[in-house]
Amino acid sequence: MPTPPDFSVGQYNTAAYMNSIGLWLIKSQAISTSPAVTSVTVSDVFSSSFDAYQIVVSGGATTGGDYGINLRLGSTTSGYYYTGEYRNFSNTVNNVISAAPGAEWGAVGIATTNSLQLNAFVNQPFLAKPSYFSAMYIYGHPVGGQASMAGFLDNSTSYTGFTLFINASSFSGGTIRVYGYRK
Amino acid sequence: MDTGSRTMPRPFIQIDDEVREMTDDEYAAYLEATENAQALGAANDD
Repeated sequence: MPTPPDFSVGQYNTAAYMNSIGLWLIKSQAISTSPAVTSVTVSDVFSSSFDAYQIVVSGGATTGGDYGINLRLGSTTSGYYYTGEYRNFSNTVNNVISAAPGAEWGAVGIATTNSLQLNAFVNQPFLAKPSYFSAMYIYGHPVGGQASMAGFLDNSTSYTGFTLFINASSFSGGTIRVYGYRK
Repeated sequence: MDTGSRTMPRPFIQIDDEVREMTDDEYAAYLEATENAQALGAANDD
């Protein structure tokens, strides 16, 4: 009999096999299109079942303009340290985005009139320890470039959810998916 | 704040599957943040 990660049709999968699956879809949250929304809170996704998470946003668009997608854990509005850089495709713009600290993790992803793009790794938000994130994305369409961001939240609060928001315009559609890494 | 005479809806926010207008406090914070918002326009593109 094949062993994981290979399976045969009709194979009986033991608990040991299932428990070795590395990435688990915790929640898929559709973003409203009518009305469009400036923020989306996703509740009850962080727990003791996982330490590390991946947040992915796909599809959707803004109702106008291109803006960074910000991320907050719970209702905390202070202590968000982050830094990163963005560089355009023609390498004529190389800038830094940072806060020490800010009221949110800024520009974790990007929202444009074409799509919402966010792919963030978030480590230990549920633990009573500082939380960390790292993310990378392509911004703009068709002009734009690449951005990479990372940061941490300087507290020991345990969080169960998060909010994605932009400071202007609105999200219209798209899907937020939260995955947990098997411990 | 008197909200009875508003003709334009405030921005909407979503909490899981619930969508609603911002409250007074949420709207005040949003306006403050919006003043500092900058689109990724000509300054950041090529």
